[in-house]
Amino acid sequence: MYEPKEKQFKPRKFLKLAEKLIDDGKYEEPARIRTVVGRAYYASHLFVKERMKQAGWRIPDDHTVHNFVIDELLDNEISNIGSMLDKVYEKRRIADYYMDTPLKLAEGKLCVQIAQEIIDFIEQFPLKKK
Amino acid sequence: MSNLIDELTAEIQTSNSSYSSEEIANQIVSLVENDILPSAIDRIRLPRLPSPIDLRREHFKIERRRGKKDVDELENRVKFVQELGKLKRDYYFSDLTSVSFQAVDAKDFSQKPFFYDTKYLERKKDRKLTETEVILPKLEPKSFSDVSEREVEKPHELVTIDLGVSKKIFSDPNFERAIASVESRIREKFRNVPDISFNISLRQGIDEYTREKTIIHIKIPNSNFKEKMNYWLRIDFEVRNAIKAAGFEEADRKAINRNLVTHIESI
Repeated sequence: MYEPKEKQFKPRKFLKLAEKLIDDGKYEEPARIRTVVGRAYYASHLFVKERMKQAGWRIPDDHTVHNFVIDELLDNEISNIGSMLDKVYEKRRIADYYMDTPLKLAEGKLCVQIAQEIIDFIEQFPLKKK
Repeated sequence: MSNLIDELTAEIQTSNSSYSSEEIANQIVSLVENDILPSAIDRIRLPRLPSPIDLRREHFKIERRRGKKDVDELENRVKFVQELGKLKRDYYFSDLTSVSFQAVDAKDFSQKPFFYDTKYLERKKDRKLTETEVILPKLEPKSFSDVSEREVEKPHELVTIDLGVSKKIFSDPNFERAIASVESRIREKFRNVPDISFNISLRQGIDEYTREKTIIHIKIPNSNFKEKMNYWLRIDFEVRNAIKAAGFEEADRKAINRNLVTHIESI
C-alpha cells in the first residue's frame, strides 16, 4: 500500500536527526557516530534518487541502486556530487559493517556536512539526464 | 616598409657605428624580453575571479537561461584572466616554473618537482643546530640567539601514489595515461596551495567486488569546511578536465570517470 506523495517520508528528516544526534552526549560516542553516518548517507542517497526518478531516470529496485546513483552522477557531469556521495557511501559501509575500523567524531560531522551540501546543490541545480 | 625596430636600430646605429644593426636589434629584443615585458606584466591588475563554486553556479545559471554561446563567453573570459595570472606568476617565479619532475622515492613511487630538491632539516629536539645548518626563512628575520626557531619543517609531498596504483600503471596503458594527466594537472594547478596534499589509492568496489575504484584523497588540514568544499569542487572539476584532455575514446573516458572519485579528508 502506497502513501500519497505529500504524506511520504522525506529523506531530509534523516539528516535533521543526524545533525541533532552528532552532538548529543546522552548517547555513547562510537554508536552515535556510526548511526549519524548511516542517516547522513541515506538522507543524501534517497534525496538524489528521488530527484533522478523525477527527472526521468529508471532506477533499479535492488542492492545495485547505490552504485547506480553514483555512476549516473559521474556520467552526467555532476561528478563533484558523485564523488561526495561515494565518500559518504564508503563511510556508511564502514559504519555499518566494519566494527574494527574506528570512526572519529570529525568524520561523522564531515558526513553530515557533505550530505547537506549534496542536498543543497541538487535543490539549487535540478538534475537533468544527458 | 620599415617597422619600429628597424627605425630604432637605425637611430641607435648613427651614434654607435661600431655595432652592427643585428647586434643592436638583439640588444633591443633582449631589453624588451628581460626588463620591459616582465615589469609590464607584473603591473597588470587582474580582476578578482569568483570562487570555483560560485563560478560553477554561474556556469549552470547561464547555461539554463541563455545557452551555450554565453557559457563559452564566460569560459573565455575566465580563461583569459587565468592565463594572464599564470603569465604573471611564471614571470614572477621564473626559477620555479620547471615542469620537470623526478621519481624520488622507490617506496611509494611518488614524484616531486626538481625545485623541491632542497636540503631540509629534520626537527631533532635534543640537538642544537649549527649556524650553517639553519635555513633562514624569507622576510622573517629573527634573533640569532635561538636558532631552533628558524628551523624549516620538511614540506609534505604534493602527490603520493600507493603501490597498488603503481602496479596498475605498469599493466594498464589507459590507466597510466589518465593518472599521468591527472597528476600533471594537480601539480600545475595546486602546487602553490599551502598544506594541500593528494594521495592516489585503489579501493575495491562497494557491493561490487570485481570492480576497482581509484580514489584521490585530498588533505587540506588547516581549512574550514567551506574552504574544503570549494577546493573539492575545483579539484574534481580539474581532474575531469584532465581526463578529457588526455584524449580518450568516449567509452574509455566514461569507464575511467566512473571508476575514479575524489574524496576530501576530515583532517
